[in-house]
Amino acid sequence: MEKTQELTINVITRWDADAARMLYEHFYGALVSYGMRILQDRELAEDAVQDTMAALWEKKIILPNNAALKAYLYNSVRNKCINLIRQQKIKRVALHTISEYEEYKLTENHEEQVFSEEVYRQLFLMIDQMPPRQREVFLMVMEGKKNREIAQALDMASETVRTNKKRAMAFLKKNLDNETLALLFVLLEVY
Amino acid sequence: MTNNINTLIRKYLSGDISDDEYQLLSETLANDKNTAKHLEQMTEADDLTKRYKEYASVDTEAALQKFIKQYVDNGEAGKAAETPRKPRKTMRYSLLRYAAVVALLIFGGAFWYHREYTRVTPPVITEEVQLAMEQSRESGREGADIVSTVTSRQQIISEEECELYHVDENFAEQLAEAKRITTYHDKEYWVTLDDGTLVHLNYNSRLIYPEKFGDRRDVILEGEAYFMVAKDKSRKFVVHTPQGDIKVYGTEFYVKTSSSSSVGEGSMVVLVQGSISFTPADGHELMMDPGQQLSVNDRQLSLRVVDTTPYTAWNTGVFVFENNTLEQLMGVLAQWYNIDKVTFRDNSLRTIHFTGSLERYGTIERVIRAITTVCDVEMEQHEGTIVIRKK
Repeated sequence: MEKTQELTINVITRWDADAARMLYEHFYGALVSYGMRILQDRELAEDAVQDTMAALWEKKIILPNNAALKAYLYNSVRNKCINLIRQQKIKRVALHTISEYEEYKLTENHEEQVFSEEVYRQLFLMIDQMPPRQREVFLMVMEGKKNREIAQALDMASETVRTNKKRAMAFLKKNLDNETLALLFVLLEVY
Repeated sequence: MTNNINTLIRKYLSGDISDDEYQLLSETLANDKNTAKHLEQMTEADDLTKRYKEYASVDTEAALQKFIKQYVDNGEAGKAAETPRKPRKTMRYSLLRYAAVVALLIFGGAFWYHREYTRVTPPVITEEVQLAMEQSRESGREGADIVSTVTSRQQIISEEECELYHVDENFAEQLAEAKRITTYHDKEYWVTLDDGTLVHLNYNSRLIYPEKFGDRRDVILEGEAYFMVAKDKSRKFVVHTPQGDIKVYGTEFYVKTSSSSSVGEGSMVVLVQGSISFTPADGHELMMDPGQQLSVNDRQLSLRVVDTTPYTAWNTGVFVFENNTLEQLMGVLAQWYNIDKVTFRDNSLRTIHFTGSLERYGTIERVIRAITTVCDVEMEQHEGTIVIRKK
């Protein structure tokens, strides 16, 4: 897939097709995923996210930086999902699960606090941009598979697996921030 | 995260880490509360791969194309087909403090409260309004002087006020147990009435209301408010203002009264949805249509058609600006954020036009950043004053 442009508020405030693309490519998948965490329902999650995008667009809300934009998007989706739950469109989810989904809060300096959804989003965005083979290898690494297993499953030489793994790591190291990297590390260790 | 940790992580990721360093890294991360907490959250439900697969299976491109078609390419044409906009004559909605607009919102429909109502349907509070209320509280924007007959043991309104607001005997009786809420000059307040009606009071505004509604629902308003009124066919909801009474038959509207002390400043009522009437102090009842704005200036009434978006936006935590000048914008912000003085180093900057919306509950720093991002200006804030100059 073509490299996604870096997220820039100035592009978004043009409110044109480029801006829409940037918004969607960076956030749509992750926000729907987030909505699905809360609702367990893909269709409703997509509705919630589409409503959020539409609202942002219609009001042309100007946010000062990326962190503020993310806060707006996540919190808006969260609220719409919670509302759907309250209106009992989702019968299966118990109300106590709402409190588990923290609000995306900014620190006093208006920086992002570490927010799990955001970690996943950045990670997945990067994974999407890896070359296909590298991505396959990395996904299996995420699953906790050993080099040998991966080599067998993907019909690759062990050495190739190692190289791809190294490259994948290097790519992530270059493109992810420290918080995300730290969490990735811990996750990989656990798995 | 300290620098040490970052270095260790990078070493780990490039495969260059020694056993000792690895040990140190594991231990440090294990002791980092934040990491531990987030790790918990992350590994709880499903694993990373499953999540990724879910994420990857979302058809972003299709959703994007649909979005572009509806909101970007056709833009106005597309939207016009869905929600016909009322023709706009003059966008003289006052964000500055003259004329008041009272919005009463009445929603029928689903319960939001958990109380049992037989014939009264509480208003449906939209998610936007909920969010606005939360944000208002969290950013310290709620503040009012509250006087109650319970605590003060005095009459909640004086004789003169009864006259001013046309309070008859029956209403006066109801006010025996009442509250009087007056917001501070830079704070707002959300009040819930006995029938579930929710009132959003802006700064420098006053609401006087009985604790319980008997066979009628009457309140007194001075200032600026947005009402979300519960539906009750058996009892009209009446808002008494110095200029006249607003009778609510089932709608959504915005009202702003002028204070009796300011001569020449009018009052204003904008009807968003439904049906209301306005009866001036010494006049006949005048029915209004949605999308209409009624202005009262020294007993002269005038009716015009307006765009109601700014009024509903106000209620949901947003300042809406449409082709306003930077000077007007700063006027509104100065009041809201308690800025003593705004200086324009260059007069041409006053007339920069600005279209967009700003969150009401952000800090002034965020607002400044937002404005300077889109306008070619620099803004400096020093102890209660703001200086604006060319970039």
